[in-house]
Amino acid sequence: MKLSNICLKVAGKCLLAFESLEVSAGQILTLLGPSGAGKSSLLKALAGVAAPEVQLSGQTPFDNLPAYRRRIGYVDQRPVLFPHLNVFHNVAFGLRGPKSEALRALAQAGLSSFAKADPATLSGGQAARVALLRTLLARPQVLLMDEPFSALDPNLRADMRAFVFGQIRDYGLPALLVTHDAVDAKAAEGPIFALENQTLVAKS
Amino acid sequence: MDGARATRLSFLALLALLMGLPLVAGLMQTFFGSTWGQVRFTGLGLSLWIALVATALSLFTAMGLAACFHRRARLLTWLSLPLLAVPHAAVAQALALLLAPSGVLMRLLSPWATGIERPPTHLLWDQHPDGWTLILVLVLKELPFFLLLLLTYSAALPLADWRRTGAGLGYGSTATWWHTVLPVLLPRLLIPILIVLVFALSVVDVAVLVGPSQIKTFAHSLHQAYSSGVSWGEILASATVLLILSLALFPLIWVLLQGIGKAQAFRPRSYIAPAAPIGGILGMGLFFLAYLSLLILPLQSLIQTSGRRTRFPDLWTGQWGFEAWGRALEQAEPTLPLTLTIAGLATLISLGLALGLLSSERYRPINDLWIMVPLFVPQFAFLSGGLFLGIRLDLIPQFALPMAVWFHGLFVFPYVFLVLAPAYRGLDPAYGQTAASLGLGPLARVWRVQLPLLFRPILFAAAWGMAVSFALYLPTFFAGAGRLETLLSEAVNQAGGRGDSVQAVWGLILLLVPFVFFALAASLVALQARNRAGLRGGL
Repeated sequence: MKLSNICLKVAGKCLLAFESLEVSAGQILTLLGPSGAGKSSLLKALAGVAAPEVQLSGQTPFDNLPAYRRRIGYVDQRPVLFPHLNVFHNVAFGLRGPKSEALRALAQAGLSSFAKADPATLSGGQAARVALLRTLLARPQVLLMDEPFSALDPNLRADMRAFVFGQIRDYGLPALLVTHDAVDAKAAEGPIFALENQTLVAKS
Repeated sequence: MDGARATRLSFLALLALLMGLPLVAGLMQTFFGSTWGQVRFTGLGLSLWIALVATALSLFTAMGLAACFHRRARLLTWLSLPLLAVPHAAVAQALALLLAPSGVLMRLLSPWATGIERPPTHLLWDQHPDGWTLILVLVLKELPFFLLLLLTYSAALPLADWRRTGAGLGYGSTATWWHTVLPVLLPRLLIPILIVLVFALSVVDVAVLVGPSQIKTFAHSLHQAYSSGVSWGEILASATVLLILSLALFPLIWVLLQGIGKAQAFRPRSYIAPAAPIGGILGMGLFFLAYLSLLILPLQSLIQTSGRRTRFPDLWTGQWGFEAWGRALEQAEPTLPLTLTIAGLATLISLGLALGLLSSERYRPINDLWIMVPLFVPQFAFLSGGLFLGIRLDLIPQFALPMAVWFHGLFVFPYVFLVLAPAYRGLDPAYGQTAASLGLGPLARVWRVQLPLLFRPILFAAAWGMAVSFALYLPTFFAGAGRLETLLSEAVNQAGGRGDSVQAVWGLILLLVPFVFFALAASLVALQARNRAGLRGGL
């Protein structure tokens, strides 16, 4: 995925700008920065789900495409599971392959016994895993993650990190990770950029 | 212009057309089509009196109840909700059975307490020229409406803090509520007061049910004029008078509310102290009366009469049975398909329109006040304009059913929208965004995400819509030129011409049908949410 001459405007004002950013398959690029710097808005704008007052100009692979045609997997800070569906149907929501794929993915994630469970009964870590599996099974071309571990307690974070990053590499996806946690950035083992003075600066 | 903006504009244009067209057409014809000269004022003074007294009494008693018992808000809410859902016509039927000269109350008290052996003629339940019977029915129905609004609005205020401050200054909780909460809430009641006033000005079915030939209100006389073939020009001009009157009441009520609010905030305690308890006691009495009359219906419906009225002062004939049920259901059954068709179609169209409008709110929210216009503009103003259009375009009576659906939809839509809007606006946008990022297009998102998540409010909005349509009399009457028979219109047509037991069954039918809609909605919602904790709660 390559982004060029990007300017993120919020209510007409340029909040964040950079010339170029490239992520290759299986690589996790990390964006570090303080709250309110525009990281989350950038991801939402790339995914096509930002509020109308947030505009993105520049060249991206998805210019002018509606969100549902971009094939971008978007993982929010808090796992958004559909409360009217059970865990299996949540995982299979957006599935592009046979249903057995969803069952296999649940088994690999150790969630087989929860297939028929109400999503409201899952723990935070389980819900996060279900949300990620669902995103991956929709076979996106790019994965965008907005602070995916911030809502988890410290004990769970390391496990989830290993699970998520392992899945990204297995699926060979280019991924963009937004975080303010340096440990997440280091564990991603990819290039790290920081937001400074409304632009991106390479840190490693 | 992008798709969302185009959708918004299309829905707004459609709404303006459906709602505005009859009103504008009626006004244009009245003022530019030389029908103004045909205006009639029969019963206008009585209508205004009934509307003002009924509104003032229901508001006063609701204020009294809220002031005295605001700490029991839950109980008051549970007492109010069933009465709110009951159609006016059912309350009218029930009260008539209880309070009529030969009604249950007089039979209970006679002859041992009253000394009366024959039905009295001086207790003129259905012949009072000042319309007190109509006022009573209206007060019983509007009191819960105002009370629920006062409780809802006051729940957002720091009542406990204000009570503590009031106590520190030597005021009890009732006086504190009256002095501090009421002045804050009164200006917010402008639109609800207008809705009640305008409804009272336009109501026909209740007037017919409580006094078929005696209460000559403005609306009742217009209704009779239309029945007896008076020209639509006369109806149109008279409806415009009603519209102008309602518009004139708008600023008057506003000034009055501001004045009362200030007066209650600054007058000495000794002057206003009795007002709240008086209102509260009166309110409690009205609640008791309403529930008593409704509870008598099932008993009365089972009294076996063999087609005759029970001899006064006997309370019952000595035999119980379902004879009255058989006769009433025989009369009601043919009207059920049409009642459900009109209510179903009007509700379905209103739901579609409401969902369409709400989905287009991404750019700018819609002002709910516009949606509520049919509620605080007299029904006659809409319906006479619609009637004029229908006759001019040769749609009445040939296309009576679609016209009835349109007329019903005018008044069903605001309720459906207002019930649905908070839930729709409160729906977490993350669900739609997640579904879009998983590859679901707009229609698939509506079908697979929005509709299941909004299942509960949609069903309750539908139940409200059906209940509102079921309780509408004038729209059916105007659209069908008196030839469309719904359950309510049949009940009104037969008013006074039935035995007490059959009348009680009719009252129960009118009472129970809306509850069937709500029970059905509640059952379906429970079925959907039985294994899903995330779908419980809320609306």
